[in-house]
Amino acid sequence: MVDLTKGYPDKGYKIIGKPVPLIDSRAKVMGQALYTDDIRLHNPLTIKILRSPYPSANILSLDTKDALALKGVKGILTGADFKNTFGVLTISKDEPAIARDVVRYEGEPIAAVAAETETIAEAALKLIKVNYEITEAVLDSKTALKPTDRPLHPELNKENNLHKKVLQEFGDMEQGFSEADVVIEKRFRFASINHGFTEPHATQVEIDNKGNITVYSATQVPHYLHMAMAEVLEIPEHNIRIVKPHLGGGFGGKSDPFPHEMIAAKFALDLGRNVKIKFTREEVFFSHHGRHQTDLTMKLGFSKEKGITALGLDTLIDGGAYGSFGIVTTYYNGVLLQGPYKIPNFRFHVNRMYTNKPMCGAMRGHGGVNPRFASEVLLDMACAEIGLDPAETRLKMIHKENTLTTNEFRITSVGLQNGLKEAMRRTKWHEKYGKLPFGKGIGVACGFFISGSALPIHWNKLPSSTVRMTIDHDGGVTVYSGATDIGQGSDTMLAQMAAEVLGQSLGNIKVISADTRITPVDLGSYSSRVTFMAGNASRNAAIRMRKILVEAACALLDIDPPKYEKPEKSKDFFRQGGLKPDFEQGFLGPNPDYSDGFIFEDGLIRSENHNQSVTFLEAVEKALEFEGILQTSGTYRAPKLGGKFKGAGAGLSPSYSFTAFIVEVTVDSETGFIKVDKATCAHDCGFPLNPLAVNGQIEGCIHMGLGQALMEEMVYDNGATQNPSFLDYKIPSAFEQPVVDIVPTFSDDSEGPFGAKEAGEGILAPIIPAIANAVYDAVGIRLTQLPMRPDRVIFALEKAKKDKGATS
Amino acid sequence: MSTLLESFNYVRPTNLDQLNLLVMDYITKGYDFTFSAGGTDIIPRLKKQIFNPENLISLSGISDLKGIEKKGEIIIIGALTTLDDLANHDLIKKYFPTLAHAAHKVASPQIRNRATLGGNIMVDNRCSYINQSSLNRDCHAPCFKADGDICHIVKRAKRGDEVLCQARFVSDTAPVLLLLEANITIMGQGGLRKIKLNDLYLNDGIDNRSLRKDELITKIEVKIPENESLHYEKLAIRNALDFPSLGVAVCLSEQNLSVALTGLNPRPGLFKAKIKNYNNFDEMVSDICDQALAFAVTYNQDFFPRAYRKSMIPVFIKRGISNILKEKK
Ligand SMILES: Cc1cc2nc3c(=O)[nH]c(=O)nc-3n(C[C@H](O)[C@H](O)[C@H](O)COP(=O)(O)OP(=O)(O)OC[C@H]3O[C@@H](n4cnc5c(N)ncnc54)[C@H](O)[C@@H]3O)c2cc1C
Ligand code: SF4
Repeated sequence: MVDLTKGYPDKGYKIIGKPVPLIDSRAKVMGQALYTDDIRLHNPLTIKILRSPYPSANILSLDTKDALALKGVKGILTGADFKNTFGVLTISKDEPAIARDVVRYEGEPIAAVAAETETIAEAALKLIKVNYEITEAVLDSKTALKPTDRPLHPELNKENNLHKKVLQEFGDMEQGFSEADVVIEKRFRFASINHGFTEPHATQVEIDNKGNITVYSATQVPHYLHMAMAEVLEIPEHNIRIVKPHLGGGFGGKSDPFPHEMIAAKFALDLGRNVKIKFTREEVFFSHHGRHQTDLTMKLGFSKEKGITALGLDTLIDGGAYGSFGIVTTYYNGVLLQGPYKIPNFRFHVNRMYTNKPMCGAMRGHGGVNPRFASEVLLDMACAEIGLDPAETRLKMIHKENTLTTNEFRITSVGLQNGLKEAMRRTKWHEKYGKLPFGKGIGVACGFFISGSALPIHWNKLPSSTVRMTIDHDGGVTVYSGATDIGQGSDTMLAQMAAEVLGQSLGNIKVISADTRITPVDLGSYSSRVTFMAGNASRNAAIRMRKILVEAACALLDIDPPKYEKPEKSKDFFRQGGLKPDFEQGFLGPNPDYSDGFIFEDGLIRSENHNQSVTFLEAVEKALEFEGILQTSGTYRAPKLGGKFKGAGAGLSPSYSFTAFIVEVTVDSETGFIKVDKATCAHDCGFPLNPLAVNGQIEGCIHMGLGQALMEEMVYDNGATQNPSFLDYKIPSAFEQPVVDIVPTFSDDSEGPFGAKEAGEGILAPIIPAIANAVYDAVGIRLTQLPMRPDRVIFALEKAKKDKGATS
Repeated sequence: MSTLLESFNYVRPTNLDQLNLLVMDYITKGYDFTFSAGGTDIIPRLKKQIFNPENLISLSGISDLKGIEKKGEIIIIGALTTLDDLANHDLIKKYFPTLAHAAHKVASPQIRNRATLGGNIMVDNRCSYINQSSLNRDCHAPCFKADGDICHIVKRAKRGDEVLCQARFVSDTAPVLLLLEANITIMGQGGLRKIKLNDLYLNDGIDNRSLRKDELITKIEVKIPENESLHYEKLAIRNALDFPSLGVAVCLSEQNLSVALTGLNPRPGLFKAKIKNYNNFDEMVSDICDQALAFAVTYNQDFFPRAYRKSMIPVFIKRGISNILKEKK
């Protein structure tokens, strides 16, 4: 077996940094893990949704009489049954649970039926009579910019279909371009893509005799769903309990509250019956929420001496019918370009448009993926034009540790340089780049991502994450966290935190997560925040627990408990973590240093000074003597960060990850097929808590990136989704996955728990431009449109041939 | 949108006599029925409510229709033989490696375990406006193949046209079988008849097989080639799962070059050319490429745009021949 810890520093941890299988993997592999649809409620009704066949229409009339009369039909809901609209962002609650009067996309819910069986529910759908007045649809974002007297959301914008405009400028663009040796401007286009998670959306609702509901739902954000549901249903949050069962993939596609969740809960409340709903794959594509279709023009100024002197972009993103996370996406299209290199003069202008298509929202690498492609391709072009080595050039430009970006992001740990160097060595970069035979190519690209958004979506003063921890009378440890394991392994990560601090085996730690009745508030799984934030919270809860146990051990051994001195506050803006815990203060700070003169191992708690020990269980029993229960909480709160200008909050994160890819390809110049032969990845996720999980994320990101790079694309024709199935929406198969080489890459992040940063999203973006740059190295063409389908390769090759003919 | 099938009557005879009686009974009573073999083509179409037969007669229980045997120089393949069995059968691997390869290129292992050869040569023609849910079809207005009054591919098409629908022929195995000059045995109320596989196919995307309602294919017969070499190449964005956007089978013998195409027109293409000059590659292929290009009519009804699919025809033909020549060396 490969030793996955090789290449990383040995910090003497027992559980942290070790490749451990995810704690729920056995249950999943054995088919024992229950996903939402596997739960068996008592005698549930089945819900089916009637969806609009038209992308844009007025509902003139809706007749549900015949459907209601069908035997077995228990209820029908229409738009009129819901007063409040909702949305994941407080500032764009524009989505109704069911369309009311107006249809804004093909597949939008028009009515919902709850019936005794699925067959009856389907039969009832056919009996609902809808009289539509088909109206002219807005099908692309360019048209959406034009003035209109019929905008999609007149309550928000009466002029046209602009949803959100962001324009930020830093430094002096003109000055920047004038300092450049080369200025390159290019237009790039990106298809909308879908998350392609395995488990379709599903929700079940259980109701008790007091009218309280338990909502089992495939969601990444139980907390936001909780709030949205209370508002839509107009009942208090404490009457609603959200539980997230095992979840089959999210990638951002389950991070909004959804219409079907509102519909299911409303039926349960109205009818007093348990209910369930499960989407078909086609419905998943209709509800979409994927990556925005994007049209962007980017201009890069580059100087041989200074590197990037200016970067500007104008972007139009197609948001579809509703807001979703779109405002955040709009900002991220700009701000996530602020790394991994310093950009002294920077301007971005992004417009998000409403159109009559399924809405777009958050998807892995949120907002940053498409502009990253453009900037990394332009950078490669600049290097080619000046005759610089694109890998060496990047190496020089990567942010230095403890610096500020032009828009005042705080850059703390950066470990990419060594990783990129090692990747270059392993791939024999210098022997290959520019020197391979026609058809073979090698390319490089880098990326950068947030380790959790520092600011919450809904402004509040709560910590970013809170974890509760208990120990039973027999020494079993339980971690309660609102963090949502969506398959990425956050439950395992939380358990690792507790196990390491308390010297326990992973098997002795139980994790109960994402149940709003039992677990403390966590904002959910998005923006790669969970390891950094919930991880710190779990670590801190365990450190508090450790203190209690150490004091109990001291009492048993009759020695003085360690003195926990009040630490000085860090004056270093760039290093807030790793301080001694402040037990008097409300929270312990990030990544505290918990050394206390005791060693927790082999079931013992041993004092280093006195060389005496008690068993863990003895300490637990002693501690229980006083309080009866052993319980602590731990929190994480992001530090105060960022500038004072408008929109300064977007993209702020306590730390950032850095990634580099070197990709080798074979391009068939006759058919245009691009085969990615090998992907070598260096990803700085701080200190990898679980190399097995990190490598899994890297392999997954490569596969997902490959899809967007080469074949994935939502196809719309007159507003109709043309490929709503996994046959027609092309996700690469296992055959297309390249050989993967993962270069151990790390840094020591003072604030990340045990030094860790994100490893779930940042990896995705740079693989795509690395492929494009390798294609250039192979056959000399620049592809500016995703996916890089074979026909586009052929088109570009032919154009290049013609251009060459014209000049020679 | 539906996860359920519309209800229909399902019957599964276990021998040919039962089947014949059943078909006779349905015909006399005027019942609507359709055959299914592996079901991998028909069930998705039923789910999408592209058509709703009253009766589905499954052939999967009739063991007489399964199996592969050699009779002299002829290999006889039962129509119900699965593609997986076909691709892995010693006789097929030995005598028709290209057929094994083409069968292996269909869909995925799970599907090939059920999919049959009979079903594959009978697989329905496809178009991105028909292989959709009823919701999508309603969005565009149902087309001719969905009993509607419009074609979204050829806008000017109207009922009464000689070819009404341009849905593509997509079978992967058919081009190879065509080059091998396979014969098929057809069983109907009138007894058995044997035809060339090529005569099974018609020009229209809706009525695209020359079978009567009561007829089914019982076996496929292929003669072991004497000195012919074949090659099959499939255009698809992925190496698994996808229907052919274009499929080109090439057959080379001492004097002849022949090519069969799938994935383009409503029927497969089949062309022959005499080889004039074996030593001049370009000359050798130009006639057959011209024939193929003249035949191919492509539309934007697939993942790849029409122009690209067409431009790949000569590329694939040349590759096929080069490959055969390389292997011969
Ligand atoms: C995801 C997916 C991918 C696919 N990819 C491919 C592909 O790459 N290439 C490809 O060629 N196909 C592909 N298919 C289609 C299909 O799986 C195959 O064509 C398969 O061989 C059909 O065989 P079957 O036995 O399942 O046919 P069935 O579905 O049982 O029948 C298909 C049609 O043939 C008729 N039929 C079947 N047997 C007989 C018979 N003996 N006599 C007369 N009529 C008969 C049926 O009435 C029906 O109309 C794919 C299907 C799916 C779902
Ligand atoms: S070619 Fe025309 S009629 Fe035939 S399936 Fe396609 S859209 Fe329908």
